[in-house]
Amino acid sequence: MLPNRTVRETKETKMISHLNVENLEIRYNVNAAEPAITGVNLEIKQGEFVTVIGPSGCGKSTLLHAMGGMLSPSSGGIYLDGIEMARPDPRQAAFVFQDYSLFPWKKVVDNVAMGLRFAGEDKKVALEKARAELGFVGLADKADKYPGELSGGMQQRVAVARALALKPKFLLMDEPFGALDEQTRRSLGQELTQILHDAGQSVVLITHSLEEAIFWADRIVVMKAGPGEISKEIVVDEPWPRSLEFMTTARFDDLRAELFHRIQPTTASEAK
Amino acid sequence: MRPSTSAGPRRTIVWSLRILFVVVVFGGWILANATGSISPIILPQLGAVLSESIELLRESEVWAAAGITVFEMIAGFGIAAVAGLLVGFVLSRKPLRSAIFEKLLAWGYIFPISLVYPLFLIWAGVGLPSKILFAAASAFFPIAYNTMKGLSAVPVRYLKVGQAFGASAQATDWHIRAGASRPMILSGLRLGVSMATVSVVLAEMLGANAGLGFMAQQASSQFQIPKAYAVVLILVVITSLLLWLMETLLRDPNEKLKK
Ligand SMILES: Nc1ncnc2c1ncn2[C@@H]1O[C@H](COP(=O)(O)OP(=O)(O)OP(=O)(O)O)[C@@H](O)[C@H]1O
Ligand SMILES: [Mg+2]
Repeated sequence: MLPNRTVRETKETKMISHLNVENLEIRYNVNAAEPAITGVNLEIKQGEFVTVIGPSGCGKSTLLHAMGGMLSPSSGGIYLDGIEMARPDPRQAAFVFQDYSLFPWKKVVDNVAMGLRFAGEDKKVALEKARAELGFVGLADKADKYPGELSGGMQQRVAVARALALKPKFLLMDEPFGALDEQTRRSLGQELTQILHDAGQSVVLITHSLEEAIFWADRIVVMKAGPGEISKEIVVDEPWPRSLEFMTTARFDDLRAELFHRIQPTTASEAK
Repeated sequence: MRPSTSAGPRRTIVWSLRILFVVVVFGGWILANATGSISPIILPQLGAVLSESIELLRESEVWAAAGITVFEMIAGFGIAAVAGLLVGFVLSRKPLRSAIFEKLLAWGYIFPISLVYPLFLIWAGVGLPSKILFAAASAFFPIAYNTMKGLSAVPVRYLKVGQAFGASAQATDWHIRAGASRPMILSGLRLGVSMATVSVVLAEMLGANAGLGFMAQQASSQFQIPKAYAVVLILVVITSLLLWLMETLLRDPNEKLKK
């Protein structure tokens, strides 16, 4: 039933794209004592699944927004295949935001088609693609509902479909399941991340969950606060497909322990 | 404002009580007639009012009057809607503008414009135009105010999505600002409809030479009490139909979900 997404294939047939963050500094306020993030260097290759973890307020969202061209750097820059990302381009990097960001006044299918319409796609074609994308995330039968008629988990799947509809090179997800209850969060997270993985979609995923950060990652970016910086990058070289068994291995435990200590200082304050 | 009884287990109870209410009112009326406890000059025979109504509906005079009244309501509302949406939109464009005019619009909203109706008579005469302008002036304020408020209070997170997905300025206006403010604009328009209808009837009673309000006023001043009641009855029915129609047209398609 799943349409055959072809980024894996692209990887072999076309040049692989690179998203480069170079010496990035972001200040929200010129007078602020401390930048939100500083000295960030990061390279992401198409096809990679990168997770970002770090204490609350360390600048994860800031980094992600900057990577998608939503913030202008105070210094340094973001480059896609060597070209500076001056403004958001959802065909290059598309967002899934943390809060439910669907438009409640539009039907689900129109929400998904919206990005395509903004990009100048013909209405009919956009709606067809939107329906296909909804099928991809398993929500074909909800196309003509309004977002308010869907559960939180379904709404986030719609937001994923909205981003995927543009066939972005990079999918930027900011704690997409953060607002869901534990149960939904697990099952939906598993399901969606699996789909994205199978499709070879390049993903940058911000998460608070140590398990999520390790299990899905080709690479984990660990950030620290004050000022926001990357404190470590960890390559997770466990081959794909990964079974749940991976979570029971010593390697997984070691990684979890390492992450736990690295983000420890503020975990107490964010136990909300 | 509409009562929100569209669904729920109490539905049958609510409707039974409503019907009971109507029965009590008309029952009381008949009883008062029978006992003669209220003078027929104040409360005529229910039968007389009903037969007078049927009589009236056979005459073209009442239909012409009703046509005039409905036309004034629709024209007044139409002008107010166009002007209100336009002004609200223009004012919402710049924070400074909306800050300057917000209080003024809010004040126009609550000010009883009927106080200055005599001025409308001076400006536009005793015919239709004064009614239409008066209705338009009354309905304008809630429409302009709600439009301005709705458009300038679009949640940032929706605008952020638009930015992330590369929406042009026009697309942002049309797909995001208009959509996000739609419930508020529609409620302004619905308020406008009731303002326009009330204003027309009031104006026809205060100074006019045509329309149902004028007819009712004439009949009562000539002590044709059953006729006055009958005209008011027709007026109530027509206005209710018009309000119901406009409410239906101006309902937000996903409004029920927000409750
Ligand atoms: N729009 C903004 N204006 C000013 N300061 C901001 C803004 N957004 C974030 N900040 C500040 O920048 C810093 C990093 O915030 P950011 O939202 O990127 O953190 P985060 O790692 O995503 O946190 P969380 O895990 O709680 O989502 C914080 O100190 C925050 O207060
Ligand atoms: Mg964040």
